[in-house]
Amino acid sequence: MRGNPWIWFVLLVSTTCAGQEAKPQRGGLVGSVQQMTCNTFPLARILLVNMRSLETQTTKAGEDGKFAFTDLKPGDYMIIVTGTSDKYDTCWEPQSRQVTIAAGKPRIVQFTLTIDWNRCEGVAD
Amino acid sequence: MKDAMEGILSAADADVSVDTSLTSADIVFRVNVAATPGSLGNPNIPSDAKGYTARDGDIMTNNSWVFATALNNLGAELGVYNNPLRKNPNLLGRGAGRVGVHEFLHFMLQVDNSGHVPGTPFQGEFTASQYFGGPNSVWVLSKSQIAAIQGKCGQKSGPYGGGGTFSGPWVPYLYDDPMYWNGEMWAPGDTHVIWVRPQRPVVM
Repeated sequence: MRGNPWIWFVLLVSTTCAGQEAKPQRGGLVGSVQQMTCNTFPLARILLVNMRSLETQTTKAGEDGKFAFTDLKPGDYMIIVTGTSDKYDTCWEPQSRQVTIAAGKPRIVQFTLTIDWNRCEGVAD
Repeated sequence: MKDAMEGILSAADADVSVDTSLTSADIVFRVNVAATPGSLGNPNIPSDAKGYTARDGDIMTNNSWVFATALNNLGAELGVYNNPLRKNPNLLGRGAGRVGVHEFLHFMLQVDNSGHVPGTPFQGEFTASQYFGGPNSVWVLSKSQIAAIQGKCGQKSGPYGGGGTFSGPWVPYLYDDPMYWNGEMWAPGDTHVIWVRPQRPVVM
């Protein structure tokens, strides 16, 4: 064996290839949500729709406005970002964007939410 | 800024926390620090506004802003020798926290400027010394404001919180809230979150 490196090479290649077949490549998505004044947007809701299968996933941004989806099938997705679900968080205009997720390195996205001033006003002090 | 908000709100002895998420807190109130009202893109906000809370119809929303430049200008109006911020720029953080509490009360009480109460953190206008100065009765929550907050949040001493009871008048903390204007530790772009853990069932 020691004198025949070719055998080792064949074994190594076959093992690596077999591993790749067993585990299909997946992708990911990481993002952040901020608002028009450049402040982070904690707890935004994020909806992810697979444009082919129409399967959906949801998550919530953290206190730092960041979110992530992992283990995604490569393909086209629609991301929809809104404020939180409670009735006091209604002024934000939802934002959406279509992205293509490829296998490997996660796709990075950033959203900026703005207030719909046609619907909302406020009190200034 | 955070300390100033915590200091005033602690009198309510309620399940309200600044920047420390509470388990089961399903209501949040955002206090965003911005340089000027112009960055919100709403021309109806006066340029000298110190704070702003967005409103959707009759509902005061959970999104507010504190405008650092307007606060800074308020100190500057007193002149070079009387400007408290010139002597101690950290006081801007105290003022910003106090504005944040005022905006939070708009949300908690669900009232607009017509509901302002003189002599309390919910009065209509404040002087520079009230924003930046030491303990002042104007920053002590009134009994009705405490009752309103407790009516909407679980009490710390209640079944959903820890111990402690409110007993009589409370004096806001006497410290300088750390901040550095023009860049560093505290600046427009910061966001504070006031977490509210409501009573069950939610009474809002």
